Amino acid sequence: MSKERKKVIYGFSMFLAFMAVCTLIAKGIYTSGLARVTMGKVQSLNISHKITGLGSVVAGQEYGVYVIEGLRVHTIFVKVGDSVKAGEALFQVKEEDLEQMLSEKEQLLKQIKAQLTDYNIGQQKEKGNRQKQVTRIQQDYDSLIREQDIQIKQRQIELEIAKQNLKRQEELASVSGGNGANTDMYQLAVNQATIALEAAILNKEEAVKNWSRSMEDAKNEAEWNGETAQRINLNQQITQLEEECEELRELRQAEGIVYAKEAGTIISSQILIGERTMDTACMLYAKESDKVMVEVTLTSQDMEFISIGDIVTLSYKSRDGESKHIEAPVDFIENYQDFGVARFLLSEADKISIGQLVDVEYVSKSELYSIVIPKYALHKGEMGDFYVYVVEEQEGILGMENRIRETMVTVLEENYQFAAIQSEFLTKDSVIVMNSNKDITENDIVRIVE
Amino acid sequence: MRQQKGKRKYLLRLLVYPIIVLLGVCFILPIIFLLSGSITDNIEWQERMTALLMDTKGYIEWRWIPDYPTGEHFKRLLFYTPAFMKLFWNSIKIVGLILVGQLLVGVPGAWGFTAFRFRGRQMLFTLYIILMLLPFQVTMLSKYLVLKEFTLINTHAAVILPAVFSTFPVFLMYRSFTAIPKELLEAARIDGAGEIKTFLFVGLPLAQGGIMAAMVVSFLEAWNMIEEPLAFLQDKALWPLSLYLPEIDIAQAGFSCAASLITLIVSLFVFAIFRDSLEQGILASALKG
Repeated sequence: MSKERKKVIYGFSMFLAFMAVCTLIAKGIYTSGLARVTMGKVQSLNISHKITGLGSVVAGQEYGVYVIEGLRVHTIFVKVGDSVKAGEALFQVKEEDLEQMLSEKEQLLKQIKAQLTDYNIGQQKEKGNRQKQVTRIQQDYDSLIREQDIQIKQRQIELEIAKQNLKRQEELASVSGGNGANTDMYQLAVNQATIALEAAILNKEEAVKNWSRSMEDAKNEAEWNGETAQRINLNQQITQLEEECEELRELRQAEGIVYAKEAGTIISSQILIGERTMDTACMLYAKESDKVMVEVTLTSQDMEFISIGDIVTLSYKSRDGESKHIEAPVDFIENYQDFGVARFLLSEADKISIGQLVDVEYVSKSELYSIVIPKYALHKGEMGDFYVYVVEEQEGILGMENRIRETMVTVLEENYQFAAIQSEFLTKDSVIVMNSNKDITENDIVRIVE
Repeated sequence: MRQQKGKRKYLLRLLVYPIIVLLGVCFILPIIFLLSGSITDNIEWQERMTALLMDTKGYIEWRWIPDYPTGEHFKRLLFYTPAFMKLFWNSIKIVGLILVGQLLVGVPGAWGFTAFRFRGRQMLFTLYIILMLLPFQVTMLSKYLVLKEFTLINTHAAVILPAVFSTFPVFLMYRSFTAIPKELLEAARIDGAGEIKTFLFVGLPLAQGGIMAAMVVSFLEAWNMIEEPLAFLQDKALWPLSLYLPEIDIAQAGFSCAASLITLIVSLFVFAIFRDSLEQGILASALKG
């Protein structure tokens, strides 16, 4: 073999070796560029929704402490959250204000009472006038009836005369055998008289009807002895002022101090020292004897899974300092636009205080879904549609390749961890891409790692 | 007289040499084009070949030395295209096995036709020649049916086995074996050499050039074959390199040139290694013929 040929063979060997190295490098680069995906089988699961929230204890029923509007607050003896006993001082109003308001109200009461007296006298006079009116209508009626009766009587006489004339004419006609033309004339006169009589009777009936209406109205007006709106108003003002005066007198007697009527917990205070009382409750308190409620605000998404009667777990520290976990049913639900409020009634036995914070937890379980996947394996498209990645084995130049395919799915239910899906291309035995170390898209070739 | 002869020869050379050089340049131009194209970057390709690549009106403009030479296409081909490598080694495997097969089957076959006289030999050899003359398109269906019957479709064997039993190299090698003087073979037999020894120690060394020539021709045929793999191999993973080139998009012209060059290198090496044998073999066959 010539030296030159040896060199060429050596060169060819080197070329093949170089190509082998390049093959390894190219494969290495290609493989390292492939996304590594882990596959997983879909599961049959219930989708559970764990709802948690921090609630607070509120009064089951609130009671208000009211005083007359406009009194200036002098001292407040309690604060929100304080438990008070019956008869315990809550706050004090300024006595000068109290005195001034009392005298003003008493003065006003006197004025209104005087107004009422004037009004009553006026009403009495009015009533006399209306009675006179009734008498006049009655007299008018009597004369009208008399007149109508005379009219009827006259028509009756005219009819009687016409009938007698007709009869006489008929007798004359039968005796003399005269013609019937004269008889017809008399018959016509009888008919006219009959019509005139009927018209007179109708006139009377019409007059009686009209009079009856006028009479009834007048009598009603005259006999009406009820309350007018003005009188009612005056009476109400008087009653209210009397009550207010009475209340102010009692307050004056108590030296302006407002006391708790029943034992309970102050849950809200609407008054400030130096400011005047409003027409609303000055303080709100919950009675000790009443039930308390845990109130928790939840997102509207959470609210979809909770309903009245569902049993939730409440965790809190009791008044004894003991950690308690109790189960309570949802008693009330209120839904708003973006959130909702759930309330659970508790009893005194639960040893919980108003204002205390409570951990609320609820787990709801859905029906059993046949295709459930982890949430991270579910992807959302730009149009809001959902899809999962499946791997399709495909013959390529490099042999069997795992090619990514997007499979559109419908999400039936989901929680923070799992999603129940439905697709005509997936069954309960389907295997889908669970994780990938890189972003993958349709048609990407990937490497499956166990 | 001698001076006149010398002058005539000189004039003849003056006339012939430019023609030979011109022809040589024409033959080598495609390779220079490939070399130039493989180091031209895509932007330059687009600028110069828009009319060709985009199928629009205009003229293409070609520069043998690019303004911005790049090795990007080779880098991409060698380090970022494992598919090319896969097909390269497929080709090496297919061609290697075909050549080995032809050596094992074709060489003894050709020797048989040369060394033995048996009934029907002439007819069989004529059949060989007829089969050699038949184009692939004619035998494709029958080959397909046979390969399918043997469940060899979509395997490398579907391409390798028909080539191993190809008649063309047998014909070529037969011509080489017939060039060996019969007296030489008879002398070997008289000296006590059996048929196998005669074949191995006399026939093979003397017909080496023809065998090598047949192998080189077979290599080129196998390295460039397109129809057979396209017909019998469905999986792209089994394809030889000759089918990779048509897969390259025309928009990747530079990359395509680089791939063509790498494909060409193997043929060049084979030619360089067996050039002498090829010349000798063809010469021997021609002389005998």
